[in-house]
Amino acid sequence: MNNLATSTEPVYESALEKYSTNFVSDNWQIKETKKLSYVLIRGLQDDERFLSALNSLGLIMPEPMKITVNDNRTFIWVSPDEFLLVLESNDKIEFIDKANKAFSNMFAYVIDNSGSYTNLTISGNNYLDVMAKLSPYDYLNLKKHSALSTNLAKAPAIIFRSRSDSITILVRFSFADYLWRILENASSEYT
Amino acid sequence: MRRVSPSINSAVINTARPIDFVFENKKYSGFDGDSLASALSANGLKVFSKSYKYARPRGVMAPYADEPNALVSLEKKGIYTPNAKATQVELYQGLNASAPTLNPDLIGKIKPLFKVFHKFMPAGFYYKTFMQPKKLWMFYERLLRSFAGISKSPVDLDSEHYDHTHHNCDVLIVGAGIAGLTASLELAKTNKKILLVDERPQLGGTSYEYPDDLVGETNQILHIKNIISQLEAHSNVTILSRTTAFAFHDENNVVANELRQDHLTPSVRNKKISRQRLHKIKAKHVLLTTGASERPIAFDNNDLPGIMLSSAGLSLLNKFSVLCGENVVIFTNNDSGYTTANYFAKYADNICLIDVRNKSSRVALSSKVKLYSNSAIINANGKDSVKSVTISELDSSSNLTDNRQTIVADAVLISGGFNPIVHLDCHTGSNPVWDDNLVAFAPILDKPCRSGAGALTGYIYAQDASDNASEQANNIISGSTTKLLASENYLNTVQFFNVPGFGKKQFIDMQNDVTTNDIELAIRENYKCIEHIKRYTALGFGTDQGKTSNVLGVAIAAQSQKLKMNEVGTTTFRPAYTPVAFGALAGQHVNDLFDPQRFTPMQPSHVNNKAVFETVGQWMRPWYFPQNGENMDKAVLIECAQTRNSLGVIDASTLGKIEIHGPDAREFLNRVYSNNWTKLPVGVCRYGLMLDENGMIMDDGVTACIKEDHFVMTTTTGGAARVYQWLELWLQTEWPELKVFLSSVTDHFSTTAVVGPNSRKLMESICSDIDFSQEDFPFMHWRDGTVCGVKARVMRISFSGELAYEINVQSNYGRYIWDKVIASGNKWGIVQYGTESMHVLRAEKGYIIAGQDTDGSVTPYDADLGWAVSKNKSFSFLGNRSLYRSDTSRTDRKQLVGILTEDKKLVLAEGAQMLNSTEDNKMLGHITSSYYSPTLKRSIAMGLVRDGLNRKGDKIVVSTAKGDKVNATIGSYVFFDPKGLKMNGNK
Repeated sequence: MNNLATSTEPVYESALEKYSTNFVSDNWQIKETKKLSYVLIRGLQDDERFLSALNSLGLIMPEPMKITVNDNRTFIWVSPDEFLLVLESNDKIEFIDKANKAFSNMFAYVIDNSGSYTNLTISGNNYLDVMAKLSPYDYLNLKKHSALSTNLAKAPAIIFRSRSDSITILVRFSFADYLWRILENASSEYT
Repeated sequence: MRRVSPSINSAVINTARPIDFVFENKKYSGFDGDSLASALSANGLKVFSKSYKYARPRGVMAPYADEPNALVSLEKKGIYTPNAKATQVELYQGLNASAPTLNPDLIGKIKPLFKVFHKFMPAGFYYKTFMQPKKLWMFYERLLRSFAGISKSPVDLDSEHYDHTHHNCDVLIVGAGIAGLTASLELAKTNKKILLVDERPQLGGTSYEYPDDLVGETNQILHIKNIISQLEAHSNVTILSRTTAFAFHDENNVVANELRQDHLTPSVRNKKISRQRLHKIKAKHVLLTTGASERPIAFDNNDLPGIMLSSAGLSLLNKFSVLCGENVVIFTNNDSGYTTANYFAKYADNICLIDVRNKSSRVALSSKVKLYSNSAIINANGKDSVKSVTISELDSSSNLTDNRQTIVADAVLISGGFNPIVHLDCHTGSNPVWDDNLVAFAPILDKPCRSGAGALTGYIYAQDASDNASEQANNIISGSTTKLLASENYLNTVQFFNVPGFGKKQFIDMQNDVTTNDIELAIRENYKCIEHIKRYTALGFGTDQGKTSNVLGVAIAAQSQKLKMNEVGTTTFRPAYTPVAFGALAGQHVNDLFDPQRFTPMQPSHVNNKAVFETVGQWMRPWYFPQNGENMDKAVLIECAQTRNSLGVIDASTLGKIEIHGPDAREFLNRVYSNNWTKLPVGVCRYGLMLDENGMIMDDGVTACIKEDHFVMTTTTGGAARVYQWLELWLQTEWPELKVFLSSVTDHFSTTAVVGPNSRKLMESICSDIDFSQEDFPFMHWRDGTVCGVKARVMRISFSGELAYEINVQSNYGRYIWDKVIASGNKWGIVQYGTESMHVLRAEKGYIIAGQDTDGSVTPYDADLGWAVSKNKSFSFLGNRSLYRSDTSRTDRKQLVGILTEDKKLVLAEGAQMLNSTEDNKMLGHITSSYYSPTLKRSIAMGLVRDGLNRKGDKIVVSTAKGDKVNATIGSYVFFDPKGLKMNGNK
């Protein structure tokens, strides 16, 4: 890959730059969505002030193992006191500023974790077959607006369904190359 | 043996499609649908192999997976398969098989010469004979193994690939015989998700061996074909043939292996499709319809080729249209022998039925069959195959009489009753029990959400099995239960396992050459428990796991000890039911997918810059950067020297990073680190030492105070996940009152560390909004700023003793920053360095690596880091109490010191032992880190030495790997710049 030193502007790279990440066939489709931001929100779900602060930020707290979607923002339940907000990069700084103000003087925090995740959406006739090769979870019964944290093969991942015909995978930056290669391996018979 | 006209109903061969294949370098021909065993049998081959211990000729004995004798090696090189059962191998065009002999000359020519010694080779022979002298055992073992009648292990890399997949289903049905198919159809009518697996290529189980068995008015082959066509219309049913459920784990987790392409000629196999697939199945309910397998009756020379189970003969006849003999003798203790006789009456010249019973069968017998009731075969005669049998009349107590005669026989078919295939039920700890009604060990199926049907539970005939399967399927639907085992002995089986009191070579276990005498000998030598008998005699070991032999072995043990079958019990049934290739177990998780390789954002630049990588944890870290083909030592010399003299850069992104938020964050740090965090101001970093409950160093790192309620902790690269879990464990289970959140941000940040006296100048050239002066940005402080246009957190910390800065940016900009730093640093001759130089630089400075210089037995005091232990905390810290234990607080423990060899060029091996002197071999400790220091131009080492801190200046010796003793001196482990003058860099 090329040397980035000659660039006069900061160069954004995903973990999968060396791969063609928009592969499409009837049976197997995989698409990477770049330049999204990921913000962790920590707070106690029974804290009324926290819930109120979330509302003021335009967020609805998801039920356990669910997501809520609002204004192109996906809000994912990760654990009882941990939630991950996926939003447009351009909105990140403003949102974090607002969240810091909304959470001031309470036990709630916002953490920029945007560099941590690679975002892959998979679909096609055989995408569930591919998922079945990598994880014991029953993805056929993963309802729309549901989410889970699990391992895909040996890579930790957050997985959610925002559409009935696809699944989105958030994998850590450092594991993305491994996950990409094992997805390639698992999908090869369907391409 | 010869082909006969195929049965319209049951034949699975297609005579319009001949198949050419090779066995033992000789060409043969068979038909599509043949097994290797059936094709070879049709070509007249009776001897398939020589036995394991005595090299006796052996032929096909069983119909399918229970075959102990007819093992073959398949193909060569990358697709070589050892010890395949010829009865399970599907014939394909060009198949190349050979007998499974490790050394053909030994097996074929020399071993038979030992025949006269066989009587001196009972069970335990090897144990007793080759005990002495001990040093020759390796020779004996190699010799004995070369005699064994089994395949060589593969030595070439497997050229095919395998994969795993998972299933979640409502009902898993194991076995697609009449019971499994019937139950599937019943369940298919509901909306339940059904998975049906069967090991055979054709659905129908043993129906093909007994095609005339009726279900209603229809023969069972037509009946099952009708069911299969109906099942195909149900989208909620998945059927996997050639798929063996080989392991049953708790909570209805079943593992099955599917042979996807083994039945195809290698050259036409689809490269995109795995050869075999491991299915990991989670089922809400498991219905076992695994059927029953036939067992033999032992008599003298019962291992001669041509003698087989009656189901094997029926399989050859009805499935593959191969008549195994013209003069067929059938030996039985139940009604199924009559059924067998009737099938053979259609084709064979002479059929004799030897029945040990005196009661009449429910099955009408063809007039062509000559029946000998109250009789038993006592001996088979022949050299390489059976030629005749000697039978004896039995008295009312089933003892032999003198009324004997010899019958010509070229095929002997035995039916000693049927063993329910209980294996899977037993894998989760449910031992089978002997059922006097079924005359077999029956499954107890006592685990929740599990049931059985068909021959497994005693319903041996198709109609009964079908009715029972319907009932059990409806039980699953309704959630009710009904009786488990058949209450009727449908086959009128009697207990008759072997010919009593006669013969010396009644083989029980064909694969391991175990005889009835061996069992009795084991018992005489006090190996009375069946598990001990198994291990003394090898009964039930091997690729067939005793499927035809175990119950016979139990029976002989029971007879010999005058016990009931249940009092002897069975050996333990463990996975796998049948052998599974290692490739299938590994699946797709091989080669570079075996373990995740974690990459930092800078990876492509490291590759561009010729890095050689090493694995640290799962991370691929640059080890060193040979720029002109130099070796590691030379590269490290260059990298260290240039970093010390001017400027170096290292990718430090792999270190674990944990954000700690909350009003109690500072208190939390006080509890998990040994040093004090009460007064650390915002904007400042501190080295932290983490101890386990025993007071031993488990990790270390630098933590920065970002705000009063916000800290960022770094951990070692390999310890990140462990430390994060450790912190969460204490926070959630012991200190839930603390208001603290922990969030992993390891992947969010990439870290470029610029190191060396010119690092300040470099930083000033690429970042204009931070004042890098010594006064404004001292050591162990951090600042937020903008580096090359990217928002960054810069920390002034050092793992080399040099002036150094770590630039932390969002990972997506990590490679951009890395490349920019290198380009900007060229004016100072910047070098990239890897983990090896990092180790040298830190060792010169005496910085420890937790996990290398510590090993879980080193306290802070042992590591001379007592300054990092604070006794002035209001709440204690983890490990504190243990530091006061008498052993932990000893002053003469092994302690970390520096070791300098007399010979400055000699680099000691890490792990080398240290001694007081060449005369005193008492071990003082070991070397933990050892390098050649380019800066000091000599070797340096760190090591743990007993009472080392009090022995600085002492001369010791260090033992090398070659056994040499070299002189060395104990000293401080800070070898370079002990006053820390270089930390501030050039002005």
